[in-house]
Amino acid sequence: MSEKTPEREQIPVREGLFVLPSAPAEKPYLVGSKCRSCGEVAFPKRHHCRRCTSADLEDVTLSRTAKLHSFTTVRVKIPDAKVKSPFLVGFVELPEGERVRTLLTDCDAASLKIGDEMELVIDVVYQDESGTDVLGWKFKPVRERQ
Amino acid sequence: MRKVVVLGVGMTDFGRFPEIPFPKIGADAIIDALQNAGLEWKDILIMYCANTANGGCVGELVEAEIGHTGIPVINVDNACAGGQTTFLMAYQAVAGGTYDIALAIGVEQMPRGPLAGLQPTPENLMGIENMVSKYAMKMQRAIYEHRYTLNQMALVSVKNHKNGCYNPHSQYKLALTLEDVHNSRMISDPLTLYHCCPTGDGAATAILCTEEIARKHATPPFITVAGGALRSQTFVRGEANESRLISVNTANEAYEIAGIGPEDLDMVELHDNFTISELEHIVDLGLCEEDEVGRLMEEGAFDLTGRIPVSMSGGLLAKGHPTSATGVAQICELVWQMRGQAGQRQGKDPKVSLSHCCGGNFGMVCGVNILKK
Repeated sequence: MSEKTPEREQIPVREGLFVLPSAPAEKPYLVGSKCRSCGEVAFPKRHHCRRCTSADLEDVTLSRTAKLHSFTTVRVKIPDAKVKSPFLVGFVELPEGERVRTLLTDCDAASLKIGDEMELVIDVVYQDESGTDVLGWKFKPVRERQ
Repeated sequence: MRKVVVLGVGMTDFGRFPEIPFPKIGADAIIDALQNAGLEWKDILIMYCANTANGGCVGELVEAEIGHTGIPVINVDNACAGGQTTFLMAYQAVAGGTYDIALAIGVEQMPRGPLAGLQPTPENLMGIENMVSKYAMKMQRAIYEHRYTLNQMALVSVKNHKNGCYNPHSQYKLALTLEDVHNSRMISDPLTLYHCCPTGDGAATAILCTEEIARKHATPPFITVAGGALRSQTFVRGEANESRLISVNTANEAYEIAGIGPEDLDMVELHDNFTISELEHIVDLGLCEEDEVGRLMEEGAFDLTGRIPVSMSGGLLAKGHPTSATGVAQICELVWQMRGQAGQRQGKDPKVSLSHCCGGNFGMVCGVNILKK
């Protein structure tokens, strides 16, 4: 979790995608949607289930850890993207079945392996035009405690 | 349904032509096809125009470049499958009896650089939703799962660039080695430059008509449309494979309409936007099994001289990929091949051929059209 500096405001890249901890002991989580008709879980939240098209969806708190499905270091400049290349991006697979595309942090590509256990962090992704920190989700490797 | 003949085809070179206004690029392809068909612009009764990058009413702007005949013009944005879409619509207009002569054109003039998502989203801003990372991760998984090796994917680029050398319209005419592919600029690990198709400008046109009209302008045997299909996404979880399932479904529908199977095909033009895509779509189209496609590529089964040539034109990888023009350019190649006019790219006496494009942000749209002689 990034430090909050008094001068710089922080905003999420979009409302409703994740919840920041309200106390130091808590951790952030992603908010997805679960279809009450077929059980399909999606992130980001949807209005209609992409599997069965039902509109009967509810918000769900998603697991904070996930398995690394794939990853790559993007080396070219990406139009629209506010992150500077090179940057590390990947897919992580949640226990709920959904596959989430994400920035990867606190690691380098050489040390990562498909199948690694990863955990969610909410972190600054970029600064907008007014210098405000824009927060987004990232995953970092779960490290064994000594 | 009436029998529909592909009477004429034409295309511009694919490349970068910022100094040429896109309506002229489109008009040049049309004039080429009209000459090829032995028709005049006033003979065309309806035009279907595919484009994504150049704004509204591109078809009408192309028409204005040649001359106002007042025909109906339909503009289509179906991303990489726009060309297959306009061809299918032109075919259906003639087959269904509404129009006797129809024209399908794909025209595109593209900005430089890698494509991001079609609509800017938080994921676009975060840099996590783009074609290059998606296909890089596809490659990583294919290697991890022992489906394809990096060499087998690079071989697709070597083959298609070699074919491009024999295509006067090709954006690239480069005889690449495996080392050239491996050592080219790293885009997103392990995707290097020559694993990717280029962006660029160009247009391609096909003119379709009834058999009765064809007999007035050409002699048999005619190239006819055996059938075609267009689909959008069926649900599949996880995004990595969505371009595969839609391709399988669209091809199967086209085979059923055409009354043939993949074993009946003599040659194929498919959506090789990245090298891994060619291997995947060869399997998706039913040409071979997943566990043999890499080995068959190594053995030359898909070369010009192989059992079933794939991407004879140089494919998207070498010939280029002006998004909406590609599908119709594939049709051009199949027609030239089936007329015996493909020069050094000529495959052996093709009678049945298939074109396939799969596009959109994440395989949202797929078009397949089958020709026969």
